[in-house]
Amino acid sequence: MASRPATASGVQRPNGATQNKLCQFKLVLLGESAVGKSSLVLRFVKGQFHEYQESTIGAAFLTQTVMLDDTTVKFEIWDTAGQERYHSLAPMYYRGAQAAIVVYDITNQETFARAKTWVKELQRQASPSIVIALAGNKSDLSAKRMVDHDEAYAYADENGLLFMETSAKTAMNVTDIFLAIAKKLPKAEQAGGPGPAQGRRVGLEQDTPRATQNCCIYTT
Amino acid sequence: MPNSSSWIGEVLKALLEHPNWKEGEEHGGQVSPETREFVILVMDGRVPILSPENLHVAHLIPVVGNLFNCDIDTENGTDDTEFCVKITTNITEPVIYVKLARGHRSQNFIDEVFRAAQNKQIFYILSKFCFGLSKDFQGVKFASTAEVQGLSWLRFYEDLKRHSSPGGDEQDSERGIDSVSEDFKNSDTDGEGDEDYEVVGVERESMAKGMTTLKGRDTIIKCVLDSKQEQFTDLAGYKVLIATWNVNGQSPGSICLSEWLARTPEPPDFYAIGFQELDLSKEAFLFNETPKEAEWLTRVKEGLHKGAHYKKVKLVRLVGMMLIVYAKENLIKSLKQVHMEYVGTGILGKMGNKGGVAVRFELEETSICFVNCHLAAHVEEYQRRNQDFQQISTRLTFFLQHGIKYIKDHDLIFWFGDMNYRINPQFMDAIEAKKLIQQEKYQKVLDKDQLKDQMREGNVFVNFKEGPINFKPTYKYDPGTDNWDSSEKNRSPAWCDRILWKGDGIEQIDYTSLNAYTLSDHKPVSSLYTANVKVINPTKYRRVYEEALKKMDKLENEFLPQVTVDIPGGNLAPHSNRNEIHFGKIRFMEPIKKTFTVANTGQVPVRLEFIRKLDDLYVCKDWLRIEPLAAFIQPGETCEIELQVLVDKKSAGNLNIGKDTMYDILVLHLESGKDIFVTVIGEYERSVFGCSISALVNMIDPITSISPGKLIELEKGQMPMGVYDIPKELWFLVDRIWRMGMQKESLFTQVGLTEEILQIRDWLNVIPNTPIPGSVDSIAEALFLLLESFPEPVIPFNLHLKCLDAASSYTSCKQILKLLPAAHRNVFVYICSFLRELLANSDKNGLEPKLLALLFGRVMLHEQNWNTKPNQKVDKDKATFIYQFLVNEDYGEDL
Repeated sequence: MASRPATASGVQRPNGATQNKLCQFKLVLLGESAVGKSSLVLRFVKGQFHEYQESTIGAAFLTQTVMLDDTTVKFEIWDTAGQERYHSLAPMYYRGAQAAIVVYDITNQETFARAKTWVKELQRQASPSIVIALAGNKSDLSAKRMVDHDEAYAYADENGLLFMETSAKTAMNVTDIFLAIAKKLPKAEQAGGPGPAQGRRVGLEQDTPRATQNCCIYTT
Repeated sequence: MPNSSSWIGEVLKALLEHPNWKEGEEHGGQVSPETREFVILVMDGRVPILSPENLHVAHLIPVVGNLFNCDIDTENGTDDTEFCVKITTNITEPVIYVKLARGHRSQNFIDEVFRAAQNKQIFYILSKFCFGLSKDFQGVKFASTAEVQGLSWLRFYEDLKRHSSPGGDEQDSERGIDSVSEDFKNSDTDGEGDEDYEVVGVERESMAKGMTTLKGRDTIIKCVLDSKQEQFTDLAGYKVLIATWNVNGQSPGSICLSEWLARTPEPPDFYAIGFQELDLSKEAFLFNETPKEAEWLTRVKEGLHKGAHYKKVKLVRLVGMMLIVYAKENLIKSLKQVHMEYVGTGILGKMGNKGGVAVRFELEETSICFVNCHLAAHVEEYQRRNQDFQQISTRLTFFLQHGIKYIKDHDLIFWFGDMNYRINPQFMDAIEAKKLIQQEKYQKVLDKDQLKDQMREGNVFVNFKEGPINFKPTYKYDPGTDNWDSSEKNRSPAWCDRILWKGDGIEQIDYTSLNAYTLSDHKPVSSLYTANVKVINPTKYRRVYEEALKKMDKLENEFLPQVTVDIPGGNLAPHSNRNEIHFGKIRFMEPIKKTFTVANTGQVPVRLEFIRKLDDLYVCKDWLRIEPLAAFIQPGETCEIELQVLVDKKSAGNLNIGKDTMYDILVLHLESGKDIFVTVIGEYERSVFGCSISALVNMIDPITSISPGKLIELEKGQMPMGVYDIPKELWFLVDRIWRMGMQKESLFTQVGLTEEILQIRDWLNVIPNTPIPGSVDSIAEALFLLLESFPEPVIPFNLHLKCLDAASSYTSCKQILKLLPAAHRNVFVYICSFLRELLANSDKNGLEPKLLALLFGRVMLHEQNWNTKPNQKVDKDKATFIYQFLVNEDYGEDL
């Protein structure tokens, strides 16, 4: 009887110190096949790593929440297929996304080149306000490195991208890159709550651009 | 939509028309014919009522004769905020009480009841009236099943009740009528489902239905947090001094109260000081006004501990009962939701000579309630005292911003006052009691204490605690002395004045009476406590909050729809080529079907749907058909999806020229989940069907001996004059009919055999040195197919409108022919000549020009968009255009 779930005091934080704003964003992962997009998501969402991650044929969907000081950010993550033959379907997923992680493999120069074309495509076709992060994955394999860190850094800097070298295997910088995106995303204050989870339907109803529909509600 | 009252009317009408329901008729032999019977139907429905499904007869109460009365109940707790309706019948033993909050909606309800009582009609109570008005439906009692069974005619209504119950209420009707009042109680007490799993359990269901929204999720997290409060709160101890005194209507004079209120070295953080019988005058009783409030308040202020500054939190008084709560000045701003309330239980069950007054507030994460009471007097009235306690418990209601709270809803409760419980005279008389008290053998006397006794019995103060009593009884003294009551009554001493508490985190430090005060016939009592208040620890809170979020994420991800796609033979393919469906060689007009299986391997039902890619108009290419396009699969079940590839006149052209390939990616979308790509691959074997006239007239070799590149070149060539005047394939077909079928009856109207048409297709692709296979009808159909498969019809699209306009004039029609490319014109003239030849044999083959014109109009002027709906007018004009060339005399002269 001591702690009743209904006590109003339980949810009214008197000093307001713990008040949180809840924001929801659609994030898409893009990049050449086998650079580790799914592995990054798996590490971020479930804290796991599979040495032989199956290739994604489609677009996997997962959610994960991160806490910032004053905001709780919920990511709806679309992990896309990297194979070239599915390239033409990518806009289905980056349309309406507020954030993107473009991934390459630091041991493969070609994947870096491909990443650059993805960035170009996003800059041209995606929402102008999209937050793009560049992730040089497989940083645990630095012995086989083919993409220079500074070169990638300079490229990211020029293009206004967030940049980190990550390792889904060792977990290095994985949560960090998502957190960095969460921090950079604009948390527009919008009145009223959002409807049912946005960004999940990628079909017919997507005609209206939803680039600015990052939904924020206040919660206590 | 009809309004709700007409639906109610419908149900009532159905009841009235039932054969058993007739005035003056004897029903089931239970009642004499002179008496009329009535039934009280309590209809329980959703609000708002939109359809009869929302309405059902929830409960039945038989009423016989005219002993059906309705009254506003004055005895049973009526005050400013609510009133009680008493309904009496002669069959149901209990009186029906309906307690309602005051307001226009309850007035409507009352009006209905009174009207029903007056007219002796069916009386219905709609929950609509009660909804949201009062949670106090406990008073409603209904006839037991046994009582109802006595009246056989009621069975009809019982049945009706079952049928009209919405699905979810089936249990209800099974349990029978007598459980109804229980149901109301249950719904009133909030479920104690503060277990993590319970909370999550609700969520599981809603997530499984895909209803979880950001906001809903937030609520769940709040619930989880509330259930884990102890994990992120620290306890902070506050000193609370509770004091109570029945002052017997005396003025304080210059009395110093510090011995009562400031008897500890450390100043308490909070004071809750209760008085009873502050003023016994009639004015106080009738008008609730008394000068003594101010007098006592002054003395109390002076008596507070000097070691701290105090500020009044709240003062509440009902006649003689007064409660003052003080807090240290620096704590005042930490108090939230400070409210006071009172309940009278005295004369008429509501006057303020007895009852309780209370103050509540929230400090950090803990809610605290102080109740000062004065319960019924007289030795033998302990049951009334119990009843007063219950009344205060159930009726005292705080109206807070976010809902109502009762005393029981608080974390910490201090309940004190003149409770008037005595030493049970049956077990100990006054003389013996006084003797034992003299010897300070308080425990022996307390063994016969009515309050202790009633608490043991569970009749009052359930789950409340009281500390050990090591002080003399506080009642009854001769005022001005320390002597026991010396009046005639010679009352036995008693501990009337008590302090009890309930809630985790209260520790009593002391509990004492102050005998030095002789002003009243009661002694003041006070008790010091440490009250442990839950304070949020921001670090711990963040951790727990984050954990809750993680858990939600985990659950949400776990409950995402999951399926596996099983493509026959797909397992053999390298992983990255999984989800590919190979159709192999595809030939014109030869459908091939393949199936694959989607299995729901997740924990929730899956709704899947093939969705369009980006800005595509269709889910897949025009040579592919998917069945079904959407499906619903329960966990553990599978669904078979059939794909059919068929290249026909619509798609052959584009495939021939490489504008389209036999390759498509299907997007299989799981609602609220991921997308799966399924690739469809085939290899099209080009055929003459779908080739253009201009390509065919330049094609010397059979199409099978031409490379795809050469074919595309021919198609792009746009050579005005060809090697041949007309496509050789056309000539072969027409020639064959010429040779074997000019006199065939129903030519062109008989359907050919599919198998033969495919053989003809293969023959045309190769052109071997054998006669064309197949019957005349099959060849005729192949001819239609060839004409219709020309990507640009014999009459090119851009001339269609002209043709339709010109159709009525042969001259105009002939003019149009001049606009045709040479090869097209040749084909047109060739076909028309052939048709005229056929018509020359009409006595044998029975063909008519109008029929042929209609048939060939459709194929020689076929529509550009294959999905165009047939239009009779257009078809007729096309036929007229062709007709001109079949019947006019001068044909051929200037062509």
